[in-house]
Amino acid sequence: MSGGEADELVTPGLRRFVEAAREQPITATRVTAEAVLAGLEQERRRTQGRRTLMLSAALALAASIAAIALLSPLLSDRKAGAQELALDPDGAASKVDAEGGSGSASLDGLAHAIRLRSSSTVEVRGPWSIALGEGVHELEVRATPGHALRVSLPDRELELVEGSATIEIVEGSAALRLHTGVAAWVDAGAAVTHRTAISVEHIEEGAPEANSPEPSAAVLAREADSLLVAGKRDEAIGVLRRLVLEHPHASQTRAAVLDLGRLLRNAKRGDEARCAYELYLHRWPGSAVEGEVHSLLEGLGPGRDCRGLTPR
Amino acid sequence: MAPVGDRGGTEGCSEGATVHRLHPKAPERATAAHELLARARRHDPAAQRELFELHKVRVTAQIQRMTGDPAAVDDLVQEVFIAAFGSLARFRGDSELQTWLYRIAANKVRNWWDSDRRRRRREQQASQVPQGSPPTPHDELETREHRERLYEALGQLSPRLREAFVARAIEGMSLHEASAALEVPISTVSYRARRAEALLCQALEVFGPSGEEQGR
Repeated sequence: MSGGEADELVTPGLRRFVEAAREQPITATRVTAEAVLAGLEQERRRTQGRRTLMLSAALALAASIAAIALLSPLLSDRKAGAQELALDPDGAASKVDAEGGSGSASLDGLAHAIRLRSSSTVEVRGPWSIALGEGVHELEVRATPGHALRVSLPDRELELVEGSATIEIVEGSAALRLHTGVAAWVDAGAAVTHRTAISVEHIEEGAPEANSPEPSAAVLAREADSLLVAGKRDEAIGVLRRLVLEHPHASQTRAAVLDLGRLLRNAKRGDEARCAYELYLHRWPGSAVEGEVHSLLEGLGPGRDCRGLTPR
Repeated sequence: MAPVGDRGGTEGCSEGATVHRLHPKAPERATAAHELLARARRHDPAAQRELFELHKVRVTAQIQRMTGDPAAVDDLVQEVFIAAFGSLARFRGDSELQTWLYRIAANKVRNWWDSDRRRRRREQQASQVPQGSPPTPHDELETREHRERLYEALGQLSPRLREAFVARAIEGMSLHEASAALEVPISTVSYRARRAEALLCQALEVFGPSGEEQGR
């Protein structure tokens, strides 16, 4: 950054402190590549030792589970139709409890139609109805005439007719990515159940409540920030695009366009990144970072024409 | 992103940020860098050595700017490269290697700020300075005192505020560079740096952004 820009940040009273830190000479490191490689080898040995230990523990656990599974028919006094299924092939404890009830479909039927990989507890609430807790859940539903899987999320209800989806629930908020198939948000609160279809590969964040206002630019900016911190770049791109398109005159938009350009560039989506940077130059000519944006564009090279954020 | 810290000794150059400018040899260099990285991923010691030599100066400078403690640098540099080489297979290439290293170093420094090691070092330094030191010119003494106070105050900030302030004010990154290095939106970097600034003014009892003396 330029000294000028640094001075803009640092207030005069603080400047002498910052100057003192900047003036501190950088001492050359005495660490050698050999020392690093020796340390790396040591670290590898430690990791390998830990892995062996964990593998032994996992084997012991698997043996215990197998023993319990063999003995459980003899010991269980649970009523028919209620089962516990471990559906997680990764070994995470996925507990699926069935509530026995009149007319409820058997869990066998559910297990045939549904594949579930989950990092946390899943509650089976009834025939074709489950509730998901905090964590990441991957669902696959086979088309079954007359049935759709109802999925209760902390903040809304989802219906998955068929296809596959990934659902991430963090702090009471769910994010859905529908990879294939047919799904809808369900608003059962009204007199007539209302369904909103979900597009494939579209990232749905937050419940689309009928009467709620659109999220503000500030809310979207915060959401993008949280997604980035969580390492969810693609989702963050979606939110930033929305911010730019829905709030073109908000104070957050300018930074959002630059962030969008950077994220798209890192995602190797060159044409889209170029469109973001071009949009920035078009909308905020003569800005302090104009030179930097031109350089970034130059780095991206030529490409398709843009209509707003979208390459033609 | 813009190459982080590529401007050693050029603070004040506001003209012509040389970020990603095309260069006739650029494709060849990119291919060579890619190959070097691939070899290092396959645990080729020669490639790992080469990567270390390429990045050690930048990482060293970053760590010293972030900690303000030259004595802590060597240990942290070694930790950074061990962690980096140990997890090189997970480096997806979404960002530049130096950005990735920057974030590893930032995490290591974050742990360092939280550790007893840092406190012990500071205590040791404090007890060593007065006696037996050669006479120090007044300016130098004052500079050192300012630096000590600044880093002491930085230690009281949350890691996020501290990192944003160090990146912007001490390392001299642009908002763009800091945003890429810290992997947060520009608006967030800007907010965090300013918030850190206000808190530092308060802690150091100097005039803050509003022109009022802080610390009351």
